[in-house]
Amino acid sequence: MEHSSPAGTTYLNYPKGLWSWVVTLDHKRIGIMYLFSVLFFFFVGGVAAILMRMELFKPELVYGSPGQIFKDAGAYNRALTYHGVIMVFLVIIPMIPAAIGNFVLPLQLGAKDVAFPRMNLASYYLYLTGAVLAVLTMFLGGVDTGWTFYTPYSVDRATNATLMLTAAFIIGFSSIFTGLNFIATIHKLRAPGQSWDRLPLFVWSIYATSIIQVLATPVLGLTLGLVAFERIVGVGIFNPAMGGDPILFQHFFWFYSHPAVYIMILPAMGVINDVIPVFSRKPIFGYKAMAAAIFGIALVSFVVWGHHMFVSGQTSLAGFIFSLITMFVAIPTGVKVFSWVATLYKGSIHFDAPMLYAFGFLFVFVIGGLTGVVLATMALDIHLHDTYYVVAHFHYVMVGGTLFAFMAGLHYWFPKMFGKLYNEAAAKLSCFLIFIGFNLTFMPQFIAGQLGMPRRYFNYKPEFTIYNEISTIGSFCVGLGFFMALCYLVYALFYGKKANSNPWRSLTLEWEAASPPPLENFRTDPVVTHGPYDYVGEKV
Amino acid sequence: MKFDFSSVLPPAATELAHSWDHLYWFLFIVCVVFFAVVMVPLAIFIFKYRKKPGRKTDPIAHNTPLEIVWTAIPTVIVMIIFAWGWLVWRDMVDRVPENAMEVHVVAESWAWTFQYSDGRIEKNRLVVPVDTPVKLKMTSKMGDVLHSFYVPNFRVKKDLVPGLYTQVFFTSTKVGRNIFFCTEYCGLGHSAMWGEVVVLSKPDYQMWQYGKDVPLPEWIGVGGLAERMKAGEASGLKEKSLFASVSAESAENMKDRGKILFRKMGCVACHSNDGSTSIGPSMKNLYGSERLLAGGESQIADDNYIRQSIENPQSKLSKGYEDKLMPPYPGHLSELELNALVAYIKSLQ
Repeated sequence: MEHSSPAGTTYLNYPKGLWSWVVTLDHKRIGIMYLFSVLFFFFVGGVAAILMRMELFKPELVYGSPGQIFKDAGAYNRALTYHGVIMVFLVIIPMIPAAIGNFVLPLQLGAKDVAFPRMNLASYYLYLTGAVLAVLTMFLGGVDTGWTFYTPYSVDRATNATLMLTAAFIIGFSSIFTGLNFIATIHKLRAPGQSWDRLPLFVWSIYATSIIQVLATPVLGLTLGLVAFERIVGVGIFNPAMGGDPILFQHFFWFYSHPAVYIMILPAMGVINDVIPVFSRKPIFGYKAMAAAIFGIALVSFVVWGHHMFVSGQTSLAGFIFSLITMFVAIPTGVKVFSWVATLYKGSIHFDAPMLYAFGFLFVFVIGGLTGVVLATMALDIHLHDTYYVVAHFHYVMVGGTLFAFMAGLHYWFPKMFGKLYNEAAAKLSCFLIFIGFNLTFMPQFIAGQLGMPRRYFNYKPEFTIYNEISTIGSFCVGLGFFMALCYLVYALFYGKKANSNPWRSLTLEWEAASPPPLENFRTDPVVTHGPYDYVGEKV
Repeated sequence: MKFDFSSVLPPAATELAHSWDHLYWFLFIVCVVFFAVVMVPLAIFIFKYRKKPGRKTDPIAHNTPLEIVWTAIPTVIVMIIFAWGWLVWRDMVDRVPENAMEVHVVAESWAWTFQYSDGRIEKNRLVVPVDTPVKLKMTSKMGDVLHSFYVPNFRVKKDLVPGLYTQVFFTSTKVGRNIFFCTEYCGLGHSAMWGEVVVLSKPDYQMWQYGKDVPLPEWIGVGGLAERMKAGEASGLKEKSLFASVSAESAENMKDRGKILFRKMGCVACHSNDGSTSIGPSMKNLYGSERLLAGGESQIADDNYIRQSIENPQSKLSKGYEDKLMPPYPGHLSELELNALVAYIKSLQ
């Protein structure tokens, strides 16, 4: 580990050479590698989505007629499986913690790196290995179980699932290592003066996320491992013909996968927590309540998994308990949303791209969260479960929530990561396209779902056509918006105006390092003397 | 009834569906209100406090009364939502009507089999009389995968699990055809695996039961457009009547069939049907009774208990019978035969 890189160098150009990246122990380089990988897989998963939406533009088409993308339901089912697996495991879960967190966290703490740099690199290679294996299954015939791998289908009927399950198992370790690393880093590597109450809320959210990653992911690994075991060896854990219980799989699976969605949203909330104060020149409203809410949400997330299983055959008593506790998640979430709006009060609001994405986040996340309360209402879930209402809900929180917050974070920290500024007008336009397109894509799906359109349907009844048509048009708008973003960001990498160390005049510690930072982050060891959001009596 | 595109919910074809709709609209209003409570101030603040040269910010970061209010009010509201949701659930799922007409449902990839107590078998179509409580005992074929039975017009849904009975019930108040979908992903035929719940007037139902053809009622909501579109395409025969179905398997009703199986499969060797002592427990008055199991716990003998005792007797050994080894019967009986046996045993009261 270098302690003093040559003057004038940044982590991007020192040490030199491709091999130095391959074996890097630098958290910033690892973060960038994650960033590019996540964005690559986002586009792959996005292509699958566009193909699905093209197929769904018209109902009940005969192969060969215009608009019929997939040869048969099998091809469509594989597309939906890859869309889900790629987006959930390769994109949304690692997106903010691994791609942004790796880069930003040590800088925000005033540290030189994370606590375990080698483990960090291992985490990246585990991710990459799992990702390659998962994508490899595509070329071996494909998997069509859906990303949820429900039994008995995944045991009895699915092809190539064992390899995909192994890939997910491996990626799980990437997540666990990242979580362990971040917890240790936050505890042990804070700069002098960086007391717990001066931590940026992004750090708090990463902390809570890391706890979930460490506690919940092993359960997923074991569960998927059991399915693979059953496929290979033939024990009847989940197979009723051998005395097993298919519903047991669902309990195991959702025990991880519900907390997993909080792995997705808590870092997103963390980004918003950091962006809103900077661009309204005000301290965040209710810092302590915000931090407490993060942990409240994380804690409650472990005991609500059965709200995915109201109609699966679990008892009414179980449903009662899960519905009741799920309602409690809404309270701290509401506190956070109200606090974000309150932060703007008597501020001075700047409309740069990160803030526009934050506003977009508020709009779509509130819709996603409220429809979550609808689904948590036991009786309502009977009609809405496994319909497009659920699809719309989770896209509003995962895409609207996590992805919008990621875009806010990416635009906020881009100058720090690359030392360049992107074209603000292009960013605003693309944000607008993505926002409009996103709502066009998913709002009609609420209606299609409550009218009865089931999910994972290759063909649907003609009565649902108009909602699908609007949704497909929206998806193209979103695709265009992201393509634009790709263009101006890549352009900025090479030809963007040089950024100074703190273009946003932010008070968090990472902005005291150069843009981009040198290998060791800070040329002189930082000392923290104020809170992260102490914007007091600012003029503009 | 014509499908009304201006509505955003399927037509409600049962009383409980109306009950569901009331709860839904309450939630919808709550959502709109909270959305406005967040978005309106957001919009106002964005406009009012937009960056202006020379403006000083006011670093307000606390307001305890406000924070208490915005924690307490949502808490109260979600508790109301939970409670109302629980009550409607209880009515829709737990409060099974007395004397409901029972129909067995067996799902497989990718078709539905409906088995009526009179022995009649129908594929992909459930025929019931209007204003009559109907209870569906559902399972997926052993060796098959999960399916889910979903009737949007009734707001009814439940998964079908191999090796287990699950249940839904409804009382339809409208004569007509209601589409049902499979709504648990099950592979290639998942979106093709739909069917209809045909609700006939009581006279028409009687005619159909006794082998007379009756006219098919109109679609309620989804299904109608699909049919009109198909009618425009195909020149083939358009189904106008509901043909009464009598299959060879339905020669005897379910209980009689179960009785034959009870003898044929050798159950009678160890279990009496009249209360007399034998090697195994008697089947008389078994259904609904509290069974003391070998491990010490007790269980009510419901449909699942009987089914599991047949398929995997070691899991349900009664106290006092631990050394009597009942052979298991998985795979020897089809789902329909299993349903018939359960129906017979239930009748021994």
